[in-house]
Amino acid sequence: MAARLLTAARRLDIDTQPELNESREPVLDADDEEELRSKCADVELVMGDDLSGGPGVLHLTTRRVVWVSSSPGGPCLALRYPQIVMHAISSDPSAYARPCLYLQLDEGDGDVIMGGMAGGGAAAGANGDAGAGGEDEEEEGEGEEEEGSAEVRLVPTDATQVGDLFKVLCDCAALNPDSEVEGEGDFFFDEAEVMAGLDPSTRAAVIAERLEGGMDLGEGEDGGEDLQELMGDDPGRFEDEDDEEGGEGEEEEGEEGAGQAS
Amino acid sequence: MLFFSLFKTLVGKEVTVELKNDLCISGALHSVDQYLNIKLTNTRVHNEQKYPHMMSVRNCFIRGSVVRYVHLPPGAVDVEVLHDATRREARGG
Repeated sequence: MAARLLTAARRLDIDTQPELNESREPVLDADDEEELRSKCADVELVMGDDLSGGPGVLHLTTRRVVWVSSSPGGPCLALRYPQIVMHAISSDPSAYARPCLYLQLDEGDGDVIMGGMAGGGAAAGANGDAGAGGEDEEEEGEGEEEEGSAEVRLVPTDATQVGDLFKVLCDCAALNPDSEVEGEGDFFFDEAEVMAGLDPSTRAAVIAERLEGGMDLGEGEDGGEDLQELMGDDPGRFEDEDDEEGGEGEEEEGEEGAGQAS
Repeated sequence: MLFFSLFKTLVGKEVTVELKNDLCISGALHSVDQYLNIKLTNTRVHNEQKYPHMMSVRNCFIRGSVVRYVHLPPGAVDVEVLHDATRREARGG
């Protein structure tokens, strides 16, 4: 059971080897201003439906949720707050025999898959430009469908503890916002939306400004003339080297030259 | 901070929070903080078959960074005022 529990925990990126002192209490990271907020003995940890770690001691610190098995050498798990998507009090005996804290954890898959897709898209684009095949597509579509396994229940023997533990969890979770500042920067406003929001005179001004800017850009970036100028004293300047495979078509070469010149 | 202010006006109202893991929870908005962490009471889960253990949950704390959408109660939001406020915010006001 312990081995399965640890495997499941590692899959969810849970720290299964937090540092403990001789009395099997988690060593707090003073550098990270970690403080113990609550300690509760006789708490059973259950992952998923039935993966029980047996009785243990629950420590709620300002940085982590650390559960340490009561049996010597038993498993211990440390969760960081950003991993905890949500937590709740579960108190309906028809769903689970005893009142407990219910935690849903970040499965991490979502982000990984998103990252993979983005990477794949970029790679495809690059390959398209190069006109080359041979892209090694990493099929990451396995998407382990073990839904619900990212759930952890913390079941105190003393059911009256649940409310207090929940409160401490809320407080500590609020102390640990995600380091990456999300929010304002993530909101992209459609250009049309922004324009629609402006009053007519401002909008006209913005459009006029933009047109002017566009014309400036047009004048400044006259690649053809620049190219002529650069080639003036050395007509062979942008020719292919003899030993290159070449044959890419002159237009492309010209564009490249202009790009470098400007 | 616009949305933080908005949500504060909705405390006590019924909202539905959709998480990035597709979990969808309705409940009364108990509180919200600056990170848009959300506490709900009297909750109800929409996709119970996927999260059967959630059936026994009546109040919860949701991490702000995992929220995808918050469905607002139409009657509690003045759309015109909100629209204006978002425009101002978009303009960097």
